[in-house]
Amino acid sequence: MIPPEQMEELRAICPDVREMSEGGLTYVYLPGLRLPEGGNPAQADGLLALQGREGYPTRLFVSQQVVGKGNNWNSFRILDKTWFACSWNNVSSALRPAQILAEHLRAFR
Amino acid sequence: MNERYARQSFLGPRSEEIFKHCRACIIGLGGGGSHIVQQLAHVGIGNFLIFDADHVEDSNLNRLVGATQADVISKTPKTVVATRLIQGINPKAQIVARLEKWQESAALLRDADVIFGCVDSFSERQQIEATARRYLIPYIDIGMDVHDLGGQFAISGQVILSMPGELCMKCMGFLREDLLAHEAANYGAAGSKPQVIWPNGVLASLAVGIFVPLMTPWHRNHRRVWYLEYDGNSQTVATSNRLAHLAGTVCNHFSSLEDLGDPFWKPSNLKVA
Amino acid sequence: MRVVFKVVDRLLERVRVDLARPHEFAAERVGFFVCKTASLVPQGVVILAHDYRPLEDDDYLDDATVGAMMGPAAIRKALECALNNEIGMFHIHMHDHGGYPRFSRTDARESAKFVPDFWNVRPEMPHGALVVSRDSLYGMCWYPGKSEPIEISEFVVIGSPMVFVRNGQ
Repeated sequence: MIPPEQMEELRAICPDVREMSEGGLTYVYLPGLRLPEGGNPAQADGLLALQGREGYPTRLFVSQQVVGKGNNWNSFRILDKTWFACSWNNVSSALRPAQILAEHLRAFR
Repeated sequence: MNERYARQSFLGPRSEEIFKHCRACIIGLGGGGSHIVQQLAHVGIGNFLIFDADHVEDSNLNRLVGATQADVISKTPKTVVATRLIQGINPKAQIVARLEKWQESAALLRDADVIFGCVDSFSERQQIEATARRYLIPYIDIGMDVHDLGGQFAISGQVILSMPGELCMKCMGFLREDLLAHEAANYGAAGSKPQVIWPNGVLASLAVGIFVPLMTPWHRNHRRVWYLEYDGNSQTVATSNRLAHLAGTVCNHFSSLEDLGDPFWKPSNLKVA
Repeated sequence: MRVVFKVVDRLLERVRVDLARPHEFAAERVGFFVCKTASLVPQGVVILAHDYRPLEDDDYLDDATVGAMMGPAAIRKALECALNNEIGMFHIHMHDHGGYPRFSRTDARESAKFVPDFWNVRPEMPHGALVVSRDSLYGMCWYPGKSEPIEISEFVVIGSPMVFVRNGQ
């Protein structure tokens, strides 16, 4: 469970944020997440994995690939939806979730 | 009973009807999946949902059951090869063939009575298993490997039944974070894995042999958990000794309410064909 | 619309064992399946049983006119369960015979009274009522937006072997 104050920080970024889980792993669902300015798309649904998977300590999945940003995009089926993620590693799980999200969004600048 | 199935009447007086109504999903129609499709068609499975985004290439012909030289020239989709194979045996079979990755039409899986995974990555297996667990569908996974031992090679393979409510592939130690991480790190550098027809045939036959008693058993000692390890050098198949160490263990990887059903359910989700 | 109900055999067996227990005065026992759901292609819905909540002994009312009468505490607990979780509640009771069971007139009448009340707390989920026999199942599903219940067209009991109940067979 994400502490309430940390969820509030996420809620300030994405009002409809909610915590979800699958297979024992915790995810933060971020519907309508605004992506960095000038990007395509301007917004997408996001899914932030706060625990290690595939060798990434944390990872941001998005509902659409961001055009021209990020390398080595792959698709993943999580929570019965298809998500996309690029290679953007080494964002520590020790950070607060909102910081983890900010670090991952740097991949789309 | 249809004369065609007379020789398998020991499977029970309702077996023909059970197979006819069964909905089998096969993900991956390569070396392993093509064998499975063929055997299920012969057994009398009446409904197929098959996925593969690839087309036949020359390098497939050493193992792709049903594929021909003409398919290489025409670049026939593997779904077409599988469909032709099924229909040649059982013209009445209903087939939904998707020339795409299964994730692109994943909602179709929800109706399957069984899913066979014939894929070549741990990540794919993880995703398929999570989906199968979400919709309470037994998942049968097969795969083979050829290991370079420096001057000689070892062929190995596995067949696993991941049954809702029972041990999952993570419990069994088959899906591990280090393997997933290694696979992700080597993405793009993997190249073509060695594959040959006879281990695929063994593994596919074992998979079908696990599947049939799920539908209509011919003995009373049917098991709910299977993890078979194939040694292609000694030509032996044995139950993984990992299961012995896991006796009495309860899977808690998919036990949460959140692991079941559509996590984004809305009544308006009702899909129209 | 096709409605499929799926339950793992060990959970169903737990239900049968519970429903078979005698009660001090109720002729039958009842309980609820806690369920999740998803759509099927084409038009259809699958109900997936996750857990079973039996009625506690003290939550029955002594009413000789019916097999089992849920008291207000039972209904409150069931409504709270639906309120606190994104689930569908499926009432279940047993007919102690072999073969395909059906709702009695009383079953149908009483289910229609209380099942739609779950929409007061969980309006987006299907809810319903089931009856189990020694070897089969029958049930009705109340789907959001539809005023009349829909007969469940198929039951799948996941186990080794799998059991399919389709169109009463």
